[in-house]
Amino acid sequence: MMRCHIHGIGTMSIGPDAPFADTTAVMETLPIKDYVKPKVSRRFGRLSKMIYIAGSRAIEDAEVADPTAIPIVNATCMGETNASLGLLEQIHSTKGTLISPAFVPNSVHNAPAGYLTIGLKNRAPSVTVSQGWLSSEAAVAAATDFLFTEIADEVLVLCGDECDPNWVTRLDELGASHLARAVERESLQEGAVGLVLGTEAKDADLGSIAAIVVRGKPDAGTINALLEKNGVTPGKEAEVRVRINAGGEPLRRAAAEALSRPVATVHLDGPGPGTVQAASFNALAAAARDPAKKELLVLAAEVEDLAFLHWQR
Amino acid sequence: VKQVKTVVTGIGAVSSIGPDAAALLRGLREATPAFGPTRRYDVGFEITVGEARADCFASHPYNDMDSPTGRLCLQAARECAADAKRRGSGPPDGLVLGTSTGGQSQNEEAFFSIMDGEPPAVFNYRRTGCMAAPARLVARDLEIEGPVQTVSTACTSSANAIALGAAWIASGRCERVLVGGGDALCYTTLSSFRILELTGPAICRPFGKDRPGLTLGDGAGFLMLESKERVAASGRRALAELLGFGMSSDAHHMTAPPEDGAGAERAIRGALENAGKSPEAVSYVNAHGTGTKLNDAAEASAISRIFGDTPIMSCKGLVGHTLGGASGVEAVASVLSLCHGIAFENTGASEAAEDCPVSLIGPGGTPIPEDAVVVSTSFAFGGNNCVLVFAGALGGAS
Repeated sequence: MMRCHIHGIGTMSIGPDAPFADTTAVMETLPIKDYVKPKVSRRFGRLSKMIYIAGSRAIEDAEVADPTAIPIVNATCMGETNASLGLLEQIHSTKGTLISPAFVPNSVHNAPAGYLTIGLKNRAPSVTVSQGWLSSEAAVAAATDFLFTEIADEVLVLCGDECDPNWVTRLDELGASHLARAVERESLQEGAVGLVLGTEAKDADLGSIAAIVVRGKPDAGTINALLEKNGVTPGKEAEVRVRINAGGEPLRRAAAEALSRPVATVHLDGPGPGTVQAASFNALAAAARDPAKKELLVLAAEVEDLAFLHWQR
Repeated sequence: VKQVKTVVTGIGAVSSIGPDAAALLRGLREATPAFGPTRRYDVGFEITVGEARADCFASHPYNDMDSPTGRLCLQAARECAADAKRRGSGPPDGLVLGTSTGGQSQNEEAFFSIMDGEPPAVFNYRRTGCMAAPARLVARDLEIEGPVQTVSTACTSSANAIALGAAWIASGRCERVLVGGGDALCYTTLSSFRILELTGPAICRPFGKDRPGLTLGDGAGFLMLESKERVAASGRRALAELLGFGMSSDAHHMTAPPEDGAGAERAIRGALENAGKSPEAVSYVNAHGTGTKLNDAAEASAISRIFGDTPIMSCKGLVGHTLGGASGVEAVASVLSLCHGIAFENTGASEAAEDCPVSLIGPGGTPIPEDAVVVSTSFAFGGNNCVLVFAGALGGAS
């Protein structure tokens, strides 16, 4: 499997100790004005703002020579959720006769990437992928395809999701407390991460990554076969982490058996700087910035999909 | 961009015309759309759509993964896998599925029930509501044990999925990839396109005079892609060759193309370059041709600059705009065209409007050679453009 070299990293997430309930307040102060004119950003939803900031920071960090020409791979599970929910509320109350046209362009999953291309005047290829909670891994896989087919030698990879504590409140108000509790159990956080990946090493310290999503069982045999088929052999010192939201305890046991070593269950998706989509990327960003870290393997499973993201310096 | 060198060894399609590729072929030959008022959706406005019949939605035992888009995709994906098997191909070992709605119908049902004070006992967004739900259903049903990817770039979703799948073949990640996608109608799309005044009760007439806008439809289309070299070595015949693809972004507006179709032009030129073909080598263009004023004029402008008088047609006058499934259905139509040596007519309009300086393929279609080259264009909200180039596989039809 082809490995991509990390040229730059940009993150947009709330502080490590910020509770879920503070998310809205924090996000209202998003520094979007630092990156794009209000005239352009006025129609952005929250996710588009986060993606825009993370992407801009990654481009800065990588010192991308021409931001108008770098291809984009964007990933999100839920998209601009508040736009979609707003649409549904209006459709329900008016039988679709009176809805806000402003919600419509934001309701497609490629809205954040579309806004980014407009803001950056970027006319390069762009793809948005969405594979549930495994979308960030899917994005790296798609970026690898872009690099392999020589669409460019550098790709901007983005992932993010928005969430809103008001969803829980609203579900409770509507008498759907059991669904509200189910949302709470997901421990959602919002945020975005951008990576600039390339075929050649630009900054050796940031390392390289490989990732893929396959349909497979979270058992030891399948994990071993998956890693072997994709040319990933974790070293003895490699840190192995399992995303709790995506797979959880059964995956941790299977990973420990597959790799013959203890594997910590790390709540990457829970409160803290991790977010739903950006969890894996945040983990590798933290590792890449820690000189002591040499290798990281993040495993995740959801429904019937199995994914890994492998980073090494 | 590296050439992908892949061939098509199976096809499957479902639309308002019928539950399989054979029905689509009949429809393309006869130019007989099946549009009408919506029967499935209780909306407060008049709208004409291309709704698929009940037999177009595959039955399956996986209630935990069910969605209308999933069932449409499954119908076409099963047909595609079976078609490839008949031609000596093995089962798919990868899936790239494009969709713009995914499990949105399930989200709507759950949301409306909650609003009505009757919330569902259980709602599993990850299994039925999320964008990846149709791909997971198809992968489970066809027992695909390899890479799975969902692409969601609105109306270019399937074209981008086909391009990524071709890269999987070229890189050796997979031997046989099922690519394409689909979208079932839902309240969200019906209401959204209506409020943007892009659709209504009138039937679409791509590139035609006084065109009233688009007609939405249900649809899904899939191809089985394999390595050209591998298929040739095994002595099998392909249906067509996927010569190349081109992608671009408009960087202009979220829902409207630039008037001159500059983004479309970049994607078309990129696809031709990737395919190693000149515009003169192209027999006809299977255009995006939604039937809206802005899209058709911009696309026609780009096509006329690149191809001059090369004839064009759009499938949307026949099956409607099937959104994320459109480029999947149109890829299947392009392959059918190559297999049967005919460029099908532009259903809905035989004379182009003044603002569309293109030559439309008229009633009865027009013959094309066995080694013809077809360009299939797709454009989407967010200014996303993807163009595919197919060629005849010299005697591959059966």
